[in-house]
Amino acid sequence: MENQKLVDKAKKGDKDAFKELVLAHQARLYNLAFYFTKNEHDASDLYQETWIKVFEQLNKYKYHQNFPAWISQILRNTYIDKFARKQSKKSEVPLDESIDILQSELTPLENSQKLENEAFIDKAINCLPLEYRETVVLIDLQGFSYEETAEITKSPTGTVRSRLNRAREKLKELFKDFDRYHK
Amino acid sequence: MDIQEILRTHKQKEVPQHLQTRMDAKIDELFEQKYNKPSFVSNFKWQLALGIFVLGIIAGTGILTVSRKPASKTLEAVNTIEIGKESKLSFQFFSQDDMKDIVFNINLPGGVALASNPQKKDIHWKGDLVKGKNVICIYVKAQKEGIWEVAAQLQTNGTILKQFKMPIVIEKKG
Repeated sequence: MENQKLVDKAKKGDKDAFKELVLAHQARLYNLAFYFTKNEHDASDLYQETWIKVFEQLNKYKYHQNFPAWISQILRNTYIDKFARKQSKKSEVPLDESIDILQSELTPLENSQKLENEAFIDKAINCLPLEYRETVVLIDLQGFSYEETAEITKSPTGTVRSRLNRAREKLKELFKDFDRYHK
Repeated sequence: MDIQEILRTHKQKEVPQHLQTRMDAKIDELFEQKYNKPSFVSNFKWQLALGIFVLGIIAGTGILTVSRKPASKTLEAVNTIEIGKESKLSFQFFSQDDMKDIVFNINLPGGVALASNPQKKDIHWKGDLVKGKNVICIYVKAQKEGIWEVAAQLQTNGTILKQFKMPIVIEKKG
């Protein structure tokens, strides 16, 4: 069902419609939260807090707005308001007690290499300053347009373009050190 | 090397199962609060107005004096969780220096289960501590009514650095 219809139903108290919205956008929002906070524990908190705000602000959502961009903007604002300050003050050790076992057709060696590559990409992205990181994640990982990214990050489109170019350049440099990507 | 291609094909992280469960419970709670909340004010509108009026008269005549001294705060010594609900347990400690090879063991009592793996009662975390404040968190689910105690130990090379005992009260719903 379309976002608009689900939002309408949720506004009228339809819990299942809201759950459907969460389900449809959970991966996008969780991944965005992960790249903002750089760890799973804070990402989980940011993710949950964002959905609570989405619920509280449903009446402010206008139908011409792009729903994924709107919720991404709420997540970004929540991160800046609460998590960015908190993260600069304390160091947190996440207890990673749930490591998913990946089912794949790769050999154990290929699988571990693939996981290593994925982890390397995450590390490289997380090395970027926030404004580059959010731009590259929104555009290259999540598929938002320049205009949508400009709206989410409250920046001019030209700034988004230049940040993206710089972020890609920086990542290119980081990836050069990683031999596995020279294939 | 096409950087955009690498990023485009980069595997998305899956939302952890325990977070989905937590989110589901939170949505139930949010809707319950917003749409099924019994409105005390609307049900007892005139009684409330009368009460405020009478209280105003009493306060105005000086019969009732209200102390301005702030009420003493009692620290919440225990975590109270409703059966079936999930809660976050945080263990905080301050380290004077960076410390390597730290082992943190958590033992969950009978009435409490790890949210992501209810069968697992002993949780072990190995890693390093940074100088300053460190926090280790786990998500648990309340399973059985009673007063329980979560025990945890911070160790390095077999030496116990700190012990934690966290009381948890598990209550019936409603």
